[in-house]
Amino acid sequence: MRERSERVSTQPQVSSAIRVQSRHGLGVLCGIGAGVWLGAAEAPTKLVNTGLSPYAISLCMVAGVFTARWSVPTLLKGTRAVFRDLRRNTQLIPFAILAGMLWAVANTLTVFAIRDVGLAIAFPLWNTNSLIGILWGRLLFGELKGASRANVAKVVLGTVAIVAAAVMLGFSTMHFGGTHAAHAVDGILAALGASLMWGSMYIPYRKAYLSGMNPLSFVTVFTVGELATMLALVLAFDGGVHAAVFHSPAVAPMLFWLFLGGFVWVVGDLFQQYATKYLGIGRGIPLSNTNQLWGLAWGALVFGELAHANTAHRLLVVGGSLAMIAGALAVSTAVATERETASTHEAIERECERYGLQHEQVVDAFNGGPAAANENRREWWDWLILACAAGVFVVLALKARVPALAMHYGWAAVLTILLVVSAVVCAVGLHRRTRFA
Amino acid sequence: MVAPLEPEDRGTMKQRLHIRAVLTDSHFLVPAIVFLAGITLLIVMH
Repeated sequence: MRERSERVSTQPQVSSAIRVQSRHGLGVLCGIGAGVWLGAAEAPTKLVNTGLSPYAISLCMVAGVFTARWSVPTLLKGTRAVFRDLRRNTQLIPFAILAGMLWAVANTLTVFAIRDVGLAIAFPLWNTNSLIGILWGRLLFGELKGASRANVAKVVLGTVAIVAAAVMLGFSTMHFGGTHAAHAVDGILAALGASLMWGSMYIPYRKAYLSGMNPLSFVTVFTVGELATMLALVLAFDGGVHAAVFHSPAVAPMLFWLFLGGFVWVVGDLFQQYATKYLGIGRGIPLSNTNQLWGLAWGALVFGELAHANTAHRLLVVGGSLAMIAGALAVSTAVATERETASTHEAIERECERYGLQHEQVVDAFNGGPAAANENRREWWDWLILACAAGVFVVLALKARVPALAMHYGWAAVLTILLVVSAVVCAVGLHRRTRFA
Repeated sequence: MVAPLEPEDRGTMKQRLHIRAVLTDSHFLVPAIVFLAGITLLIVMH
């Protein structure tokens, strides 16, 4: 009898532990998937060589991100569910817009940082954004609060290893030269500003998911903030309505490649959003920052960027890759303990208390439970939106010009297959476990 | 604590309370301050 009661009392704990393990596994899968896709997002932009300003290139890519948001994601969850979710969480709309604005300004600051101190100094500085993310995760959401020492060490050291590895991989493809001493302080400030802004962008991400919002709904509003801010920056700093991006005949033939980059980026960002939802900022963001490894793979294998690399550069690639894999392994194996999970629930309670949310509903949505999963009906207009978004891509593809650039098509095929496989694995995991909730 | 907003709450005291809850939320204030600092830096650099 006593044995039976013990079994009954331990059952909820066991099922809770399984739930935590399952959420963690799904989050790790999405974090790695995000790295693969975000790393590939730069590949199509390498085909663009027009002499347009970085503002113009960013605006075109963000327009592609906005259009792409209405393609595959519309298939996953109909617009009715997305807008119902937004109506239920109106308080989160300013947060999502703010996140998009942060992304756009941070991205522009990197342009100034590269101009003033060069990529070699700027790149390591803005790559520290995942450390900023960990700090905000701890201070604002109680992440890692109550975590075992081993888990804290795995997350912090793993993130430091990923940041260091990203810097090593970045250095391996850089071309040094030129002095930038005259504007060094400006450039360093710009790079640190970009790091702070990208690191702070994850605050709205995490808040949205602690309030039970769906990542697809968040990304919808995020892309609006991103596009509006980028447009404002072009109008303010790049020639206003006379900016080349609105008139130059060089724009049309390269738009497809930038839109394609935007499409790849949006898929990567969606996986990053799910990783933040299921792992938190501290674990999700470092994993998605492994994109540097995949970006290097595209650059080196497809575009031959390491063809003339010397031994020191090759050692940087090998060392950086190993350090990044070790860092990702450390972060992936830091499964949250029960005490840490309790602090996550405290953060959820704070949101429910502040905005009068239904606690059970929010917890169900946070866990990707059955109620949140049963909202996937698509209407006829969803297919129309999808057809329009696909139509934009087809029209741009017909106008696209393939530049005369030496490419290794065999490796491009291998990496594309890997890209598709990673998306299918993540999508199947999300569909089975949460129905993309 | 504020009650969830309904479409008919537009322009009401309840909506104003909601806006105040967002604007005084540290989760909004921190990224908003960072954004203001970032955009100021961008304007100065330009």
